[in-house]
Amino acid sequence: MSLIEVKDIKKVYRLGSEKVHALRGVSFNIEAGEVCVILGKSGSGKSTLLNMMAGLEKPTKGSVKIKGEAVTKMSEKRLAIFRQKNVGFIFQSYNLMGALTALENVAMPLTFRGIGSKRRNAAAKKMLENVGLGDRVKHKPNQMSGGQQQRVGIARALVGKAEVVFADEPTGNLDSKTSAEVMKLMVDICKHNNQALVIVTHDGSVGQYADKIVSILDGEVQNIVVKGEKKHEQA
Amino acid sequence: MNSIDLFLMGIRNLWRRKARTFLTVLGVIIGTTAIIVMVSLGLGMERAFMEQMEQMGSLTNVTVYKNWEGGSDTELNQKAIESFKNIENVEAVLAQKNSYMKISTGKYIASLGINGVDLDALEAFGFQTTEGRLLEETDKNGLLFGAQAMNEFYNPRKKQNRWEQEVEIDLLEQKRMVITTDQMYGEPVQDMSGDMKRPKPHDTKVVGILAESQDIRGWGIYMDINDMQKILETDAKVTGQKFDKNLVYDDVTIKVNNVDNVAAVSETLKVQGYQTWSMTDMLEEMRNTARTIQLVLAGIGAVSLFVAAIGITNTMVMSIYERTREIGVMKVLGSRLVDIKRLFLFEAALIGGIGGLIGLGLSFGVSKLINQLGAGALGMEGGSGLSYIPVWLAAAGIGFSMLIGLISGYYPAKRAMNLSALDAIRTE
Repeated sequence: MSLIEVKDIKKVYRLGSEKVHALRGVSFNIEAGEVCVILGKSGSGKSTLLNMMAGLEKPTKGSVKIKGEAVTKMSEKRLAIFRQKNVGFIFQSYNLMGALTALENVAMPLTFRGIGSKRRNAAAKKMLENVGLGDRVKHKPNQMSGGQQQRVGIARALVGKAEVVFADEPTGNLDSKTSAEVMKLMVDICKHNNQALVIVTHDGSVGQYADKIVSILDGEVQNIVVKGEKKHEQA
Repeated sequence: MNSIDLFLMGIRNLWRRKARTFLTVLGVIIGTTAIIVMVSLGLGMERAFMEQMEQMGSLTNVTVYKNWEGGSDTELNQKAIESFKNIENVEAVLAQKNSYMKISTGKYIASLGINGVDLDALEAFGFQTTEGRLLEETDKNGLLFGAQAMNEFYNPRKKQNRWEQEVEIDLLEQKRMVITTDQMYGEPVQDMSGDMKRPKPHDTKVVGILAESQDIRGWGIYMDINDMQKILETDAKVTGQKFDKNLVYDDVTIKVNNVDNVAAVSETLKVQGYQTWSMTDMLEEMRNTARTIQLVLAGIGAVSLFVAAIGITNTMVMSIYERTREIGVMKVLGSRLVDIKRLFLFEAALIGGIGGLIGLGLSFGVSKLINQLGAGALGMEGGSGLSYIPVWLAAAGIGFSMLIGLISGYYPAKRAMNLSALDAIRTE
């Protein structure tokens, strides 16, 4: 059994009287500890796909199973608990809490789990050190650069040791040099902790960090490339 | 998410928007103060009523009258008295028969109304002596004097008008004192027109002086009803007047164990055909008036608290608009739905609670001010004041404001909880 099983996902939006087929039956698997890049142009349906995998949106048809559990069928309540335990999330625009320090931002997912302040602050501090921000613990987001903020975002997504980490255009707001640093950092930590990392991007250069690249075009899987294997076309 | 974290996060969120939080809290302060002060005025008024009533006489007493309109047999005889004693919640019955007699000691005499009473009831009705003691069965023809009753003595041989005479006698120390139904006894000018036989006076003595009192007791003279009956009977035999052996009382007072039961006892008596009167009849009316006024006052206060409640809801809804993205992120990061709801409810309750607390403090201040100004303006000395905040009102004030906060926060909290995480993080 794969860690994540995406099976024949279809999504149809209604725009007035017109039907928009955002996804037309997408299937693929992601293994534990794998770095998977979902590559596609804007409008290809890749973000919709990510939202379904994270349980933020329900598909019209098909299912997503994580650790054998169908997230597409869970209630909001169950999903919240499931995310708390199994899923980390990295946003394009960081989405840090402006009123909180870097440390408090990173500790937040642990707060939701009901972990006491001593333990969670220790874990958050360690995570910030891992992303190279050991000296920025008490800084607020607006006192940090974009790259630093995204590293706080990464620390926040990884602090809970979730088996699955989703990243939505994590380097979208960063220059290429910083992008490379951030990508490397993310991949290294996930590899080290055997966490599966699912990155959605339009930036082909991100592909170099991937174990598996799923290319999406017009709501369909164009091809799946697994490193060390040869490219195989999908019907 | 544990409660301490939730608490800290809520306080932080409110603190982040100090100005708006302060203004919302201010609304609650004004609302709470208005409602507490208004109710305190109503309560102060009711208390003033009660105090006034208590000064007028005991609230637990019911006076019973014979039904003058006839109908059922409502003679206040011994049988009736016994039946009164058996009514539920009746503590004691004081039955009195009044008789006009003459008392003489040394060169002084006095014409006085004597109350024949059942000795058992005296203590229950709070008879207290400042000198001597209460009557006992063995005191033959013993008397209890009201503190003011001794002013009735005069020297009939003095030219001075009897009302102008100042007489000082120690009633307890008199060697010989007599009592008689003969109204001519001791008077220097005798009316010889009648051929009536004159009864002999009976020996008597004063065993106690009653504590001074503003009510009728201060002027009354009390004697064992059995002694009185004997005197009346003996004297009637001499004069040849008719004497009814069947004892009928003139005045019956019933003591009820609790103010709250007075109405029920009165009702029972009325059903049996008697007429009754008690302070509580008046009290009930006064209370009803006080209740109405209290309701009106509380209503005025409630309007301002209602406006404050709308303020809280408004603030929280605004807060959701501002924090939509934050709420979405929290959801994606795994916060439970109830945590988000609890967070918003807590923030709203905190606004209500803080407002309530400060409002309560302010209410005590305003209440004190009203009492000082009021006492000056109305010239009330030592009165208990116009405004009165009992402990329950203080507690209810805070509880109510927190409840208002919770209720006002419920809709925004529900709304925050139901925000779609996806829409929330898409919001820029």
